Amino acid sequence: MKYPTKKEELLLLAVLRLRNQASLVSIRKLLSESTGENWSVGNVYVALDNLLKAGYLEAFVGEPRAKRGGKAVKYYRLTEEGFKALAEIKKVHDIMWQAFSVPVSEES
Amino acid sequence: MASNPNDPPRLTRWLLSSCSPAADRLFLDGDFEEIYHALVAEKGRQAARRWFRLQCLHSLPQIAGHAIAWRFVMLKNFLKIAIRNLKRQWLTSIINIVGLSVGFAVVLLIVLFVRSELAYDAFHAGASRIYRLNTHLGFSERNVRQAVVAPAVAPALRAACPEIEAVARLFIEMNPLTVSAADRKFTEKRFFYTEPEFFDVFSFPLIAGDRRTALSEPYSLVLTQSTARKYFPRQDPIGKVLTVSSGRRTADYTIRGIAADVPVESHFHFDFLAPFSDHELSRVDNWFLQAGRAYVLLREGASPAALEAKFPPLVEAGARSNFGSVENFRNWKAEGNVFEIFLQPLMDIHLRSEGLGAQIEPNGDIAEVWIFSAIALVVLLAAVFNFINLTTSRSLLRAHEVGVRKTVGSTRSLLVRQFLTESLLVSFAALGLSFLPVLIFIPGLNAMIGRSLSIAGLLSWPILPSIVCGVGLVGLAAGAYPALCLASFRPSQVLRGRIDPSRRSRLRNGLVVFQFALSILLFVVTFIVARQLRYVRAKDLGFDKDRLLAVAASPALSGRFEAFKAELLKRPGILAVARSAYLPGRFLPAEDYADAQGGKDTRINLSLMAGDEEFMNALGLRLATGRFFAPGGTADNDAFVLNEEAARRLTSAFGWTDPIGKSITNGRETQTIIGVLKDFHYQSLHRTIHPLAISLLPPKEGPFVVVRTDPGNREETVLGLKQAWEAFVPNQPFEPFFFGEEIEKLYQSERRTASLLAAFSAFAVFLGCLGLFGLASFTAERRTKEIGVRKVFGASERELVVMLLRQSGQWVLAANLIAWPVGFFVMKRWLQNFAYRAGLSPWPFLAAGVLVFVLACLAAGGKAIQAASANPVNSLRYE
Repeated sequence: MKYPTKKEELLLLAVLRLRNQASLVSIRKLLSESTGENWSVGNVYVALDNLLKAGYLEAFVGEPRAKRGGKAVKYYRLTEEGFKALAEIKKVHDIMWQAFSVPVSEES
Repeated sequence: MASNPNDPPRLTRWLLSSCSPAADRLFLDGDFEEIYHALVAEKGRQAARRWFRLQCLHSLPQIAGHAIAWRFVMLKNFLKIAIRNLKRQWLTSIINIVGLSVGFAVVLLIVLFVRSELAYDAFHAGASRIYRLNTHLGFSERNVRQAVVAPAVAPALRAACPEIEAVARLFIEMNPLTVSAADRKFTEKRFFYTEPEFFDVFSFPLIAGDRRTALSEPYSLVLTQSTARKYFPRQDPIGKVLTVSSGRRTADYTIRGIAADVPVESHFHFDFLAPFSDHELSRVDNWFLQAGRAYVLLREGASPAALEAKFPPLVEAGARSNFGSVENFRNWKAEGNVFEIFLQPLMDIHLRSEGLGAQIEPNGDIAEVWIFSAIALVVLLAAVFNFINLTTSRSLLRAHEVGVRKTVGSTRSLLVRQFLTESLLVSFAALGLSFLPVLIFIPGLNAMIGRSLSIAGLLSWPILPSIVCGVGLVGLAAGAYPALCLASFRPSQVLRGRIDPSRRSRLRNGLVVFQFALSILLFVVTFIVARQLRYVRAKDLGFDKDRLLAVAASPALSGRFEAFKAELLKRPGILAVARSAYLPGRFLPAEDYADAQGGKDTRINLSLMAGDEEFMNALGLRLATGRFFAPGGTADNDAFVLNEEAARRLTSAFGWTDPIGKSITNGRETQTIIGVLKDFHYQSLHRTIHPLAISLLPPKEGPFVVVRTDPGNREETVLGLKQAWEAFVPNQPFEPFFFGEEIEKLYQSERRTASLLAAFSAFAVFLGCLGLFGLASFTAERRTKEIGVRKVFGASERELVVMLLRQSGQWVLAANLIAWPVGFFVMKRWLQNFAYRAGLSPWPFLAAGVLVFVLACLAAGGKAIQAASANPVNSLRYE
């Protein structure tokens, strides 16, 4: 897979952050809250499924729950590939962000 | 399920879940429900429901698009693997594709043919409302239904029946006409007399001229486009004049319309249309005149049965002029005689005219359509069986692949889809390839059946989609069996190499035997038809058909016949010249004759022929007793010469001892019998020899001049004849009839059947051998090890080849047992079409069996020899 997009990067990070609780619902909630934008279910699902098929994520099935109408949850977690991809992103980010520094305010 | 107010909106929910990929359907549904309930708790039910509904816009397109995109990715994957497999098993793939494409080609050709047969006359706008008037006439021994109706009938019916919208009578002169323009002159046979309303009934398009008025004036003429070009190349023919001469009369016609050439798929083809009202026959008020045809166009919604019911009283009124009164006609009918007019739908004419005589052109036969459809089906089945056979047997080699795929988590449905993709790919490749043989064979087929089929017929609207669907079905059907049985292999057994190859072999053997039975049957039929045709050609007809030719007499010859004859006899190779009213295959009149002296009421039906005193010598007929007509003069004007059959019938019916000198009468004239000829086959061999009486042609008369030639230099003789003809009849083209060719024409349909059958048997046996070749190479491959072991233990190559071929031999033998009885009964029925036939001998059956056996051995033999001669060191190492 080519270098992940920003959206994929965010999704991978969200899965990492949510540890064993990374379901479509919780990922969507986290992303919506942290970016302040509304992420539609379809948008998140398609992106997650593409990452799954690319091998960055894997899925496991949780227990059925009453609030879901008795249906099981599909949880996602990172694969080794996914970790490597994140590490790569981080490396690139660190290099690319080196030139950046927050300007020191004159007053402070 | 009652709708719970707390549940999300059901329609939206159903939409969302039906668009989701199957694997994630439940999870997604659960996700939506979870979010929905959270929203209900947070913002209330209304807001939650609105959000849910909006997901149709926000989430559904993405989910659905994603699902579809993945379908394509999967399909691409399937195709990639399919092509890889086909390449790996290239021999099987080639056999499959070639076999299927040959099968498809046969089917496509037959589809073209059947489509053209069914499309006859359908191009007329009112085709379903057009009916032909036919006559049923039955008296004494004769009972005929004919596509002929007297010219007086149609106008009378039209005047009395309001449901008839328009009527078109047709009349075609029996003898060819001579048509001449300023600078060119031709003999024309397709000169039709009809009415102005012709174009109301039929929708033949006019290229020039007005449909309503083209034929309304006397002596106006409509030509087809190619006829117009023949007479007036590079000129506008409208308004030009053509002189038409029929021998008795000559008239000038003005061209007022040009019609497009008549499509092949019409049951009649005209070159000229002229007003019938100019012809004296159009005004003859005799309902029993057996000349002319008529078509009626019914009004929208009119019932043909109701119309037919109105005919009997009209017929009685019409018959009055012949019988004096209606009473007489009724009495005549009460004696068991029949005279009826009935309707035949236009669309039935081409295919359902069985038993109807006097057609304008030879028609097709619905039975032929059925037979060819059956052949198409059978050839298609044979091709599909091959495909199934090869794929299933090959599948054993793929069992490992399946086992591995299953172990690593492939589902059964994925496997089935993979196999179906492969078989569909093969089917469509075969379809593409099959257009090549279709293109190659269309000209040959057209020549054989006298049509102009074109591949464009396959690309038209309902045909092409049907072909594509049909091929899809074939692919699915052929792929389904191997796919299902492969996908159900249990990996544990397969991977341990425990799979019983004989389990499926009964079906496979059955299919192979069926194919060979079919090939043998087709060969048997072909051989017997060919044998009968040979018999027909070689049969001694009682006259020298190959030494005879005839020319149609011309008015220019009348009065000069003796001079013409003398001129002909001077030329080399011409041995005798006679006037005759007989040509093989032409219609012969017949009448009933009674004993002129006796009181017995018995009548015998005699065919009537006429010739001059040279007739017997010219044809090479042999006299049995008595004498033939005396030369010079009219002494024998009231004399009959019979054939032996007539003499036999008459003597036994009238209780004579010797027919010579006896007189018979038809009620009007009395004839004295002066001689009896040995029987000769003056009709086709389909019929037994009918009693025949020959009378003396009056001097100067006779439609044909028969010439007996020396078998030596035929071309020179014909050239001499032509020169003499041109000297005597300068204004009429020389068109000789060869008796041999005229007789051949009587067996045209049989000859057509024979060549088509030969072609199809070749196809069938090709398919069978292809299948056998595939199976044999597979068997040899599977038994490589066994062969190696046998060889090590001293089996000779010959023994091994015999062992490998034994199975093919058994198949062919079993196929013979099926094909022979079927062939026997079918051909017994077919031969009954002929009164004179070659007996059913065992040779065609044996020959077909042996031929197919040899072909089967050749197909299987190459591989068998290769396998048997392989070095066991290599073969035993093959694992």
